[in-house]
Amino acid sequence: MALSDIDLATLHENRLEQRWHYGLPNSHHIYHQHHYHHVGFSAMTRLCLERNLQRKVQPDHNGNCLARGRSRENANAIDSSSSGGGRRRRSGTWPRTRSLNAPSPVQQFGPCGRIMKNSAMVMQIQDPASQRLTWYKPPLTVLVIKKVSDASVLAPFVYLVDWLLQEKNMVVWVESAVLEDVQLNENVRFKAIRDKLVTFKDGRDDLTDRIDFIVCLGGDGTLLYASLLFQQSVPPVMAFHLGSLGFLTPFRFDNFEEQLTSVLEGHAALTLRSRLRCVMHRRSDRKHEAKTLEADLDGEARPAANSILVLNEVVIDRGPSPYLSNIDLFLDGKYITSVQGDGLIVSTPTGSTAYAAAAGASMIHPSVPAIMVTPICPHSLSFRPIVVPAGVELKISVSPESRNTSWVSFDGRNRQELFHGDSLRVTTSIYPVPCICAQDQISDWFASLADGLHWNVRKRQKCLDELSDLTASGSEDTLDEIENMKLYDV
Amino acid sequence: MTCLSDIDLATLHQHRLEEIFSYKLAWSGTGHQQTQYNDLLVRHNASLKRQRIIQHTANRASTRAKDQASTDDCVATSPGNIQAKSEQDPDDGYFDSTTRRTRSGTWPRTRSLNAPSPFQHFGPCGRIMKNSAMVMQIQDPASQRLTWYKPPLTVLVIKKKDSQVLPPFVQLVEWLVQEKHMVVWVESAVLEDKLLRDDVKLEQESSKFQKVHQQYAGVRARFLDLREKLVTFKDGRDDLTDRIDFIVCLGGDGTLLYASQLFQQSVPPVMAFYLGSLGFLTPFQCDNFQEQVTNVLEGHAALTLRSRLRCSIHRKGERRKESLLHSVGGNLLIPSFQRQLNYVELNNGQTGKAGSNNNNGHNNSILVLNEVVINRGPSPYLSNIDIFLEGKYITSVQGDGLIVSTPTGSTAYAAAAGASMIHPSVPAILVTPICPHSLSFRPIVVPAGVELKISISPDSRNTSRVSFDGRNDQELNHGDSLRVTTSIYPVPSICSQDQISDWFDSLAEGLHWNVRKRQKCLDELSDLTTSGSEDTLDDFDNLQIYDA
Repeated sequence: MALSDIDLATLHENRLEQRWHYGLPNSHHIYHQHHYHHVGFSAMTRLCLERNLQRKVQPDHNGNCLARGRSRENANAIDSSSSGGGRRRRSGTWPRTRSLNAPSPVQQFGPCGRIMKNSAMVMQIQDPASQRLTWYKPPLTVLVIKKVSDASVLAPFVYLVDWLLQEKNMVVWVESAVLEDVQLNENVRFKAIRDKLVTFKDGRDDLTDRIDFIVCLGGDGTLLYASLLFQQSVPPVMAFHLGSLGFLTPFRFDNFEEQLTSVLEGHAALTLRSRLRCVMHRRSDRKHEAKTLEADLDGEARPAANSILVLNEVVIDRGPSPYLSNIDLFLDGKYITSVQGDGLIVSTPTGSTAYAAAAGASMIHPSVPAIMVTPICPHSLSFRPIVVPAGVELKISVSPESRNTSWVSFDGRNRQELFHGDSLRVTTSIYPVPCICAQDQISDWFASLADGLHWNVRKRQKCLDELSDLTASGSEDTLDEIENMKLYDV
Repeated sequence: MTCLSDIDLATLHQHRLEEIFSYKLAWSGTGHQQTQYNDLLVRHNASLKRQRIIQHTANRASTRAKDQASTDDCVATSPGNIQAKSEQDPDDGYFDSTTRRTRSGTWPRTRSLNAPSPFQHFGPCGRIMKNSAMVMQIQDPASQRLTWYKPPLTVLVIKKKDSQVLPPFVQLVEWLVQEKHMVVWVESAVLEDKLLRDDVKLEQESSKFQKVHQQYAGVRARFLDLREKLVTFKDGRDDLTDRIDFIVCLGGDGTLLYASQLFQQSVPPVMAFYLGSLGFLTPFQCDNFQEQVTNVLEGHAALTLRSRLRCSIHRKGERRKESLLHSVGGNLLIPSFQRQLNYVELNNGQTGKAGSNNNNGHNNSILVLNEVVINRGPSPYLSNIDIFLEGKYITSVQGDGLIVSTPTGSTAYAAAAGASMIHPSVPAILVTPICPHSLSFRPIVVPAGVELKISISPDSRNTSRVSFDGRNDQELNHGDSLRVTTSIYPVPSICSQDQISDWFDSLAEGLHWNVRKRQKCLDELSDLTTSGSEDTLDDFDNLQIYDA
């Protein structure tokens, strides 16, 4: 605990000095309580911080990675300045992908019809296929999230952290629970680096603007956890799978050094995975609601205390009650329908391959701007999942006639009760999760469908020419019989 | 018919020349052309009067628009300032988030349907690389409203082939011609409808038909008065491009699909009426059509831009691509074998004129509004279709076939095949298998900008059949491929209320989406309890649950 407190303060001071060095405006608040010469923190931590300072003070002697990173940054600047002349065919290290945006529709309709011009309602959209990562400044801090309670993740984790510390000279953050892992503490290599790690505890420490980069090890849950930790801007996330490919973890760990180096140098395509912003409005919170509204008008940076950002979905279900749920659904203030069954899933395109897929919805590519509304076991012969535009606001409330209350969970966590008169508001958040692609957006998605869900994995039906080789006689009846057998056997 | 149609076309052309003169636009005709019909002068004068009235209305509308723009600017200032205070990073200038504004206007207020601009700072260091070449401007679908570049003069009226449609059809056409002084186009087959003709030999018809024919005497009499004023066309022969200013559809979703087929490039605004049950694409009711059409003609209308798919078939042995697909338009009234003959005939004719065709690029493709279907046809074997997306193999379909549909088509065949239903403003393409012989197939939704390629697997036991919005059925052989992309020519459908309300109304009335008895609350149940025993109450609850 004490170590963590000191490290946070020291790191903050280090950041202030770093900003001064880069010529950025400094905060008015300067912490004088701790100086980097303070005897309070451990020798190893002091050595690590000194190395960071040294790297800052003497840029010419930086490691190769940093030098290349800086060079790449300059190259990017040159590219940016020359990009005004229109689309250019890039010859670069990343594969070329076609546009994913819908083509701009022709807005002349016959000889007379036109779209009324309304420049206030036009927005600029970056083509998802061209979304690439660039570093505003070289990343220094990296958060490593590893799967919990899985021994097979330990060795790669230690190996990765060691490499990040020794080779890339980065400040590595981990969750404090990691240091309490018994098996890890028995690892000789981990013991050697344990004191160099910065720890945090979820619920107590706010990571906003302290993390430059995130590495996830071990499964989709690690990415959901990363999304939970950052309720505003999310640093770029590189997610590795160990064992079977996850939906959101496209990278293999085998050659992580090469891949991480490539990303740190700025060679990476991004998928911006949209999130949903969910706000609970309690019936008894009229005053609180007004207060929240006031705060929003003041432009406070912090989101409303009762809003949660989810990456997969928000689920409203009947909980332990034996009765059908009775949930009213409103879209932009208009009543749409009621859900009588187990409940309702409001999900992002990313979440279309999660609970929503299990509940029968189509799967949507993460670049499609949409929100999915999917009932869970609806007691109706005519319910069907729907997909609505990403800009709408959904409101979910318990029907006045409902026999029970409902329960709300966000990415499977933070389960809360929704009472009569309460309502849940869901909109698309402006803070996406920027996931680094292994290949490109299309290939990664279809690879995850094939490996993660075995989407349409099936034996191929053989062609007739092969079948004819199996014919013992030339009789047409016999051939038909063999074909029929083959057909049902496939 | 041919003679009348030719004359009408010439008359219309001359009328347009005079219209150009009236608007002081560039004069492209010769001076010595003269009016061939006396009634043209009368109609022209009436049109001029109407144009002045419309012009005046347009001026008022324009003034109102300017006032609204000023109001918007004032409202926009405040959130902009707030945002300016909170942001100090110079990078922000390029990727400013769009600030949502509240409008006060004459049309119903709808919130934005576009996704909010994503915040493009990722932690302290991560950014999106700037690439202005790949940024496109997208109009918010909720704010898409129709405006007339110049007053519409010609209107195409498409009606369902159904006797019930005749009275509203005649009433509408009469009103458009006499009250709105518009040039009304109809399909030539309409003039051949026996119920609208007085030269039918009734003795050769069934007694039932004679009875119906008698009932429609009044409608027929009114129509005969209008007959000479109508302009006719025949699908497959006449090209309507740039001749129609406005389209009215009467009678069902099929009429809108037909309108989409008729226009393989820019589509005039479409106002679609339903008769009987509400259609998915026909939000207007016929009862007070005068008021509603007047509203639209004056420029008060919200639009839904329904995207279409551009489909082209690439034949194996053909370097030159198929050049007749758009000409072989299926006619609602022509049986399939006639369609085949039509195809052969036009194919022969087109071959001789290949050099003079200046639309070779466009002729290769068909635009569909609902979906393109690839299925196994009459063959008893499973289809075996390979799907490629952006040139990359995705999967194969072994079953009855595949549906590639627009969001508009998500409530058509794709819904029957198990796909989710997608609002027409979501930019997406649906890929849905039909009865796949697989336990793990599932419909998917991909971004609207991708290109799909569908071909027959080399191992397939059969060929496949391709149909476009249910028409133009063709064979896809081994080695051929079908390319599907989103077209730049949408179908601009006029909304009855707004985009969201119209869609959910059509789900409720067209498909009875989640229509179900409401489960009653416990308080009501307790009133039915005759005894206070808890066991009895539980028993009653159970009964109620299963009954509901």
